[in-house]
Amino acid sequence: MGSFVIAAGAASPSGITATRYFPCPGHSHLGTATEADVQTLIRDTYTLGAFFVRVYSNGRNGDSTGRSRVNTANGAHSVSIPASTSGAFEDTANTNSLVTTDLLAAVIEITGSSGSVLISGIAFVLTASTNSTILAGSGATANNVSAGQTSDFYIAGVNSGSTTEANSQVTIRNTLTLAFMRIYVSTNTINTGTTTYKSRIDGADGSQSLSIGFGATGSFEDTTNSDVIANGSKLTYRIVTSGASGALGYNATHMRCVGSAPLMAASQETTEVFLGDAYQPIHGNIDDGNFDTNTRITLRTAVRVNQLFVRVTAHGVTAGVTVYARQNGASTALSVVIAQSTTGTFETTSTTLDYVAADSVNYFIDHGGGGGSISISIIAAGVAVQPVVYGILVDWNGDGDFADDNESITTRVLSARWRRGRDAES
Amino acid sequence: MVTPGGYLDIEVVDDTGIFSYDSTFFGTSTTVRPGKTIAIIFQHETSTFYMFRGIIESITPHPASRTATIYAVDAFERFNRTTIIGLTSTGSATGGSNPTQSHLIVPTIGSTGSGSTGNPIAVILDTVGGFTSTQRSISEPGATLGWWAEYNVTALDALHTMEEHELRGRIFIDGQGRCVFHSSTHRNGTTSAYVVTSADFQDFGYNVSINSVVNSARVTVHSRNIPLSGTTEILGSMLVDTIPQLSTAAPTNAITLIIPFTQLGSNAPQVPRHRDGSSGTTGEWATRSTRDLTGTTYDPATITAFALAAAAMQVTITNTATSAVFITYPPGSADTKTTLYVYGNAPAYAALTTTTDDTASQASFGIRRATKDFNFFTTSSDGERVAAELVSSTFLNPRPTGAKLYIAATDTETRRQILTRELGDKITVTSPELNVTSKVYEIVGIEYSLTPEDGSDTVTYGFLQATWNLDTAS
Repeated sequence: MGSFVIAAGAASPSGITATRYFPCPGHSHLGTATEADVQTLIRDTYTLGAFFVRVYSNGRNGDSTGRSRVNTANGAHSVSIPASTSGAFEDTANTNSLVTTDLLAAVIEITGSSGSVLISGIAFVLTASTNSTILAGSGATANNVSAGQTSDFYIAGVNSGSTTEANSQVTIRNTLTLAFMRIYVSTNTINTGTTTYKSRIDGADGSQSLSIGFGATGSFEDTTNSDVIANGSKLTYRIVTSGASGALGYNATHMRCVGSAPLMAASQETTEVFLGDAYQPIHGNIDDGNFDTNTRITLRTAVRVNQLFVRVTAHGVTAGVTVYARQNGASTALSVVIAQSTTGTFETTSTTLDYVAADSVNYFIDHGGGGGSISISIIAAGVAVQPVVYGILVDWNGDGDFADDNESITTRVLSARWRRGRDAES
Repeated sequence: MVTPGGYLDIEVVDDTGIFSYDSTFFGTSTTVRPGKTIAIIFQHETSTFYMFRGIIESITPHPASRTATIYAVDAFERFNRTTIIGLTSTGSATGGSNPTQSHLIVPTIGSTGSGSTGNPIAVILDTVGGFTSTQRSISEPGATLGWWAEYNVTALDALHTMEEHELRGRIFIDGQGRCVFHSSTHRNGTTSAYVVTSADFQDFGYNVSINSVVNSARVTVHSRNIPLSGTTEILGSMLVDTIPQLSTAAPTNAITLIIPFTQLGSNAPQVPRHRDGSSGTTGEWATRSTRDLTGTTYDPATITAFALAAAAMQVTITNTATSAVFITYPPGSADTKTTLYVYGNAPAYAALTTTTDDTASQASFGIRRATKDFNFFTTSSDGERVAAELVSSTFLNPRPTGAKLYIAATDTETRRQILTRELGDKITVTSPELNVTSKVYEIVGIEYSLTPEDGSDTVTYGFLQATWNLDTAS
């Protein structure tokens, strides 16, 4: 069994003035009026648990409501956001059962006549009987890729990337299987040919691949192939647009991720230039905002993180820069130091950070106090599969539990062998 | 005798004698004793998995090596040590009516007098005690029994009888210590819980022996037809010189006696009475007063009786007097007044034997016969069905048996599988080394080994390895 948080975040969101739909997971920068653009196609059986909405600011003169959406209908979750009220809003009481082919999204319903609401975080807890979850780089605003172009996109965070594959790659530090790769094409004015969309592993094509004819829009999904990802592999999506004119616009990209845990990754279309300290959401879009609370989400499920990954594309800060995983407003030991004038990938895998369900989490870029800027395209935390912790317990006092002093003899065990079976030959 | 059910063998550090007989480390000087509940749990992410739950059988210190060995067993051992004197109630898990006095041989459940294996299993667990509705899992049964009763057998034997009557039934103790019964319906299912190839496991092997061949079956169904009337035959008797004194208040104002049948009977047994020297009629066998050691005569006790099994009846004697009551004369009285008799009418009995042979297989491998007796099937068709299944094509030729799949928690998926797979689950195995391709097996046993990665006080991780003992699933 695995419970993971799926989130959409934005460090510096734009305001919405009408009901808007958001992807989750993905990027919550700006919702869309077209729900289909941001829906995630479910490819497993899940329980959709705790619902979290972070309102960055709220100048709207009417009440708002956040809801889960399942198959274009309201789900079980809802949070009421009073007029002119910002902060964190949660529904931890309700759940939805999700089955394969369900379509998941979130909505913020707006009332009132003036003012806007800025959403910087949306999250759910997704629980499956297996270690199954969703990796997504989805956004409400379509990313347009011109004809005849090869681009590599982030597997998590925003729905964008770079023409330089290395800038979009993130290193996986778990073993996992990716399947049901899907892209939702909202516009397609490519004039001819077939656009290909494929998984990329360590700079080579993966097994998953899609063909998108010129002018074709809608949902495209590889339901046949899968990719087994080894520890240390670098992942991206690649899109190779056909034709000589026009563009293909897409919103949702995601895959089912089984056998291990996902990344909590925030990324940016090109790279984001930081001139000072900045707080970032754990998933979604990184930006130059510097608002600690506004970028946090509450996990509502325990998470063990054992990798922090940062990709730096330029570094002109006259000091070292440190990126931290944050826990309840404090920087933790899970951090990477980016020495002055260095670029590339920076990663730590030697520190383990255990978040508990009540923790509110985000990332922090400590600019280091020097002048100049640093450009970062990805911050990702690798969610470790929780280790197995065993216990050998004896009810010494016979009171029916193992909770009394010294009733755990775990630390004294040198070895154990046991058998379960029938009392007969089969 | 330790049964070959589940067991747990742990070696622990004991450098200060905390696991010794006189230790007070865990409580008082009598705390470290066998009989305590022990469990192995694994916590993974938000879930807790019980991998074993049983009772400590022995604790053996090894002072020279500063270690101790703790050995525990699962509930099979308890079943083995519990004797079913008589079964007097139906199971709570699947319902049913209580036995009544209307039939000497008690039908398992329902007004039709027929029952199914799930219900007797519940009755057995009720009798053993300690297996609440949350500590048992009895799947819907497949076999229908014409009648059913047990007397003076161990609970383990009684459960095995139910397994046999289900033919492809499975009774086991799961990781939580629950008693689980899988009907043949469960075992015949084809849904595979886990698909493995050579890359996923450490080893896979089996043996092929001629002993796996069954090409002849002799199945006997012991049928009993129950007549509805008649009260003249002696069904059972017992010497009553050991019947205890009945006081005037609970708990000893009533006693329950289990009296073996001389022969199987039907109908309500006649109320037990003192034998008075002559036989047979109601008047001569009227209940008599009893007297105590001083010879004082009291009103008679209330005596009721009903049959509870093929081999015995249960007799309850309740003291309705105001003083202590003896049910009979003290030892040394005349023999004719120290024997308790129960009268009824013996049922008809017939043994229906079915023999099935496959001559082609016998020509190749000799006659390899399975002989089975089924006490609780009523008709010969049940025997024919069982015989046909015993001599099905699956068993006519030597086949791989004793398959073992060795799997280690080397990655997320194998770890999860080790934590979640249970007996009865199906595993689909592909092993090119043995030319096995997508063959479905059923887990019939799991052996675990756990070695902490270090021996320090901070150890929380364990290296877990399991061996799944497999049988062909169909």
